[in-house]
Amino acid sequence: MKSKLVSGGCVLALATGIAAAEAPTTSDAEAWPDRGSGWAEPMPKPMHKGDPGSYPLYAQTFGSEGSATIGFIIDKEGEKKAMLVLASSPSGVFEAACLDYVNSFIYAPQVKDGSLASRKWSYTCRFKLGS
Amino acid sequence: MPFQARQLVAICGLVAMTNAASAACAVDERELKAKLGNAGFLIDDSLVPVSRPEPPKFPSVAVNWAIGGQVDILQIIAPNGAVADRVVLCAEPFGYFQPNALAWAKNFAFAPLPKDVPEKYRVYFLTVRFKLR
Repeated sequence: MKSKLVSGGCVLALATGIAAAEAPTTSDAEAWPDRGSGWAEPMPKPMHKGDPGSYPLYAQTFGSEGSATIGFIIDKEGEKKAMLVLASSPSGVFEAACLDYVNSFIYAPQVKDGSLASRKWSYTCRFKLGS
Repeated sequence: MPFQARQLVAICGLVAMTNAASAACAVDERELKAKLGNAGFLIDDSLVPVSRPEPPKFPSVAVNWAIGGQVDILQIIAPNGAVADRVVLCAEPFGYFQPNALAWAKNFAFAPLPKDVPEKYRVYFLTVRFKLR
């Protein structure tokens, strides 16, 4: 069975049959406990993304498709911290795979108004089974 | 049947094992096991990890908001004993504790299936409790 991991609108097919995306993601200011600035801006492109991995085994077994949205802060050094699960559908199935994928992202230090600054972002992983 | 998996309590670095059932997260373990068994998973109630990583860190966001919580996780175990997938069965409150709990649950190790047993994926139920002291 061909499987896909997609996010945003752009799909990149990999040799494993998994696909990943480069596209910007959604923001969910309501779900974030600390409503600071940074949500309305486009998500910076990571300097590096790891392998999105194979389609989650549990989801593949039961033919599940869905998504998970991870919120996080990129600090002044470019490190990710304060990760949260903002949304997940179906609940619980895709959170681990999305967290693993987001954890592989490496960002450059963020600059805002000419100086280093911490920024809040979110990333949505969408999972679809191919035919 | 209430959820009665192995329970782990992370109290800002102080960790203890408990067998207390979860009140907040009521998962029908028998029904879930039947579903998994029908899907081809090997249900082995005697399965225990041979090694587990250091306890998860208490999430900084949860510390800032002074909240505790709990995450119930289903681990899918590959025939070689590695964790192949993790599913969140319940998270209270939603969002704060899944990242640390899932990262922790990734690096458990289990004994490989014996060579005379047909290769199947196994399951292990795990509860991670985060409590503020």
